[in-house]
Amino acid sequence: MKRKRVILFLFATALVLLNLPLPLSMWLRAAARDNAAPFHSGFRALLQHGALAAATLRDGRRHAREADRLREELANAQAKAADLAALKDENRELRQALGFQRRSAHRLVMCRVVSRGGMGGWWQTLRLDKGRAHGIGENMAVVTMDGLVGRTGGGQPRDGGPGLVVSERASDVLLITDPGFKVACEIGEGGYFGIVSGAGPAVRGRPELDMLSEAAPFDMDFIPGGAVVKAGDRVVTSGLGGVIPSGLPVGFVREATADKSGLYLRAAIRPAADLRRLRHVFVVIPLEPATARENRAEAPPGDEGRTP
Amino acid sequence: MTWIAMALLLLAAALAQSLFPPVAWLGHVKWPWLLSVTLYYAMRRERKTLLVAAMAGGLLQDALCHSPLGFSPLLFLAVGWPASACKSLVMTETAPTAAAFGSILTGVFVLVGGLWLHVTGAASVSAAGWLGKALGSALLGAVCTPSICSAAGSLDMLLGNIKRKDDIHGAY
Repeated sequence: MKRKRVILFLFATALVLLNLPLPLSMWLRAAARDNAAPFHSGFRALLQHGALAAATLRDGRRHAREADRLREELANAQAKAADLAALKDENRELRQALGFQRRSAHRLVMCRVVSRGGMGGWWQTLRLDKGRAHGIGENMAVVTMDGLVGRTGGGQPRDGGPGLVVSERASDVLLITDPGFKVACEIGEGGYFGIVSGAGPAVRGRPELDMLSEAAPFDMDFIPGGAVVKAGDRVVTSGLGGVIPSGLPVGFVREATADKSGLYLRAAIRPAADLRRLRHVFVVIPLEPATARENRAEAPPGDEGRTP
Repeated sequence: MTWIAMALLLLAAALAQSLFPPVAWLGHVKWPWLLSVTLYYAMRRERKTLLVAAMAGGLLQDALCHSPLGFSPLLFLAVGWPASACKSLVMTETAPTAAAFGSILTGVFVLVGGLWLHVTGAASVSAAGWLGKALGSALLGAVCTPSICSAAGSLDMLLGNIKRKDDIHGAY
């Protein structure tokens, strides 16, 4: 009798959990992520240091040469940075003289990828080691040096989608290859607009892709039928959705074909960013949205910030 | 001490499941460490511990994942129950049995879970991807479950929760 009561209690608990109010369930998720964050970061750092130590032991001489080369490159980069700083000052003075406003309305926060694919592998996601404490919020673009990678969690799951959370010390990211990811983009020299969505992960891939998901080409829909789109055309975000800033590289057209209705084109896009080996990414944080809006309103045509 | 061992196992399994990357050529499935811990308690310990392990492990999985809260506890219970019911009929302490149980039940877990997520609109997976994931999970389950059973059995013996391998069945 007692055992039956325990079983009933546990099943009832599971059912209650399934019907928890959304704010409470999001709070629980955020708490779990915050508590797990130090362990994730610690173990990830341990693994990376271990791999580095093993590589150094295995190939010490090459690493020493590499370090020398990097020092040289750093010195060159520092010299270039000094030149750029001078140009920046000059540019600022000229802009002030002409009454222009600052172009960039964003800053980048570098994050380490601590986990990939969540716990179940049903979604194309990342978990980053930084969260609200570092200024990261919901629905912010996530990029690498090559282009757009995804966006941070959108708070409440819409249409039953994944419950992505940005907590104090961790952030969930939906990758551009997830079928649930959609972003307004423009394509080709003509600037044709369309919507890019993830085509899901590719099962077949090179063996080294085991670590991370293969970036399958994704699709771009609703391009006007008369548009001239060629293989190799560059696709960038249009900023029309209001979530992702404009001008971020998304990928390159692999092929474009007419859709079934014949009214639109459908393009298969090869991602610009290498999604197979993501170790570090940047979250694009808008700088004071009100100021950014004012800047855009005041800036003359053609002066809007294209990239962060 | 049983509960301490269970907490340690579940936390370690959650960490491993989160950190181990998905296996691309098996349909991007994750290593089912948490389910394997539940199956260990289903196959080798009394039913009460299975229930607690399934609830705690499932909740941990949902809290760290993007699935609805309560989704995994129910499924862990659903797949752990048959294993617990069958344990007196088979030699659950052997690795091949653990591998077979792990493989079949992990596959079933992914099949049912995928169907649930698809019906509720939480995830969109093609039929081929869904079956691929189930097969991939079955393969990983066959690896994870014996490993967890061996490690958890050793830990339980170390902590005095079970006396000898022969007495595992007697731990009701």
